Amino acid sequence: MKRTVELGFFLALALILSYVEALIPFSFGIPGIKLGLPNLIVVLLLCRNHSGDGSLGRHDIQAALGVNILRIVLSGFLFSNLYTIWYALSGALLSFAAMLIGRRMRCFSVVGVSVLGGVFHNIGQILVAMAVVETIYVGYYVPFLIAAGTVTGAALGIVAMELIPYLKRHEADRERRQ
Amino acid sequence: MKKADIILIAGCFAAVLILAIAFMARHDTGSVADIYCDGTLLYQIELNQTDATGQAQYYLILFEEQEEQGIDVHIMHSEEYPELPVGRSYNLLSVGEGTVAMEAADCRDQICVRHKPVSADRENIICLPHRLVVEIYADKDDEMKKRKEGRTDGSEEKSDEPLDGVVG
Ligand SMILES: [Zn+2]
Repeated sequence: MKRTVELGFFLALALILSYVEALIPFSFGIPGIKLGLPNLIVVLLLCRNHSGDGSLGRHDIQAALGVNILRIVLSGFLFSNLYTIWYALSGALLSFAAMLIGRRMRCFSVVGVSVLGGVFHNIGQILVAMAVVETIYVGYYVPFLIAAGTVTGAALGIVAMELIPYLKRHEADRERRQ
Repeated sequence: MKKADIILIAGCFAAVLILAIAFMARHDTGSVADIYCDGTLLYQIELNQTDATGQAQYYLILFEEQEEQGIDVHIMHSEEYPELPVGRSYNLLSVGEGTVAMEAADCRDQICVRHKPVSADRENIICLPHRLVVEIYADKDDEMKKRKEGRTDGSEEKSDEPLDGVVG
């Protein structure tokens, strides 16, 4: 029950960030580039238990993936349409896979994981765009996509890095009270 | 932050630099703009022609949903900024001095309208909601373009994905 409440809280946060993101134009006219604000929540869920041996629990993966998929489906219904959902899901899943691999490798901190997420999110979305419009010279956009993903990923990663100690302290407080 | 994070970020920027330089090195000016919908070439605009008058030319692309075969596309050329249609999907291109810009569109995301004007070889503007691509080529008979046309010749399947902005 406690976990459900907690996940609901994170999901709500991710939805708010999706909404904020929809208000900020950040595409430069290139389909696929996004600020990736909701990814902050996914990064937090993946990396909050980063202490000790650096292992990643199954619960953490499930929570991060669940929030990731649900926030896309829900924000798709709330702020756009069905067709956007498929498009956004592919970017988010590629990004999630990259972050999971990065997290498992243990050599990266939150910032590195977040950068991987940002870059692969943008690449995933442009690949779908290419498939939808058929063909096109993809290479032309790749430098923009990597640059934008790196900058947004690093910025969000630094925010996550600052937030994780607070999450941990909260967790410790709660355990002490019980 | 760990050492690997710095290496990753530095690596990304190095890749960006190398790719950007590689693209800049072959930055030929375009001579023709191709308009594709659903991967099918619809129209070719000669870019050099417009320089004679020095005046911008406008191309209004209108989409019409057909009952059976998906989408019908019309392209209307005009010398002046045309009146934008109401109740029909459209994209408006302006062409002047070898540069193509997306002036207006009624698509949901407006990403194409925000794209900077294009003029160099293989630069493009994509309108994903309308499945529209405007692509610049330096050479009218580009290799890759030929391949693309050859591929689209055989398959004439049209999608039934609705275009947004279409009423009725
Ligand atoms: Zn558009």
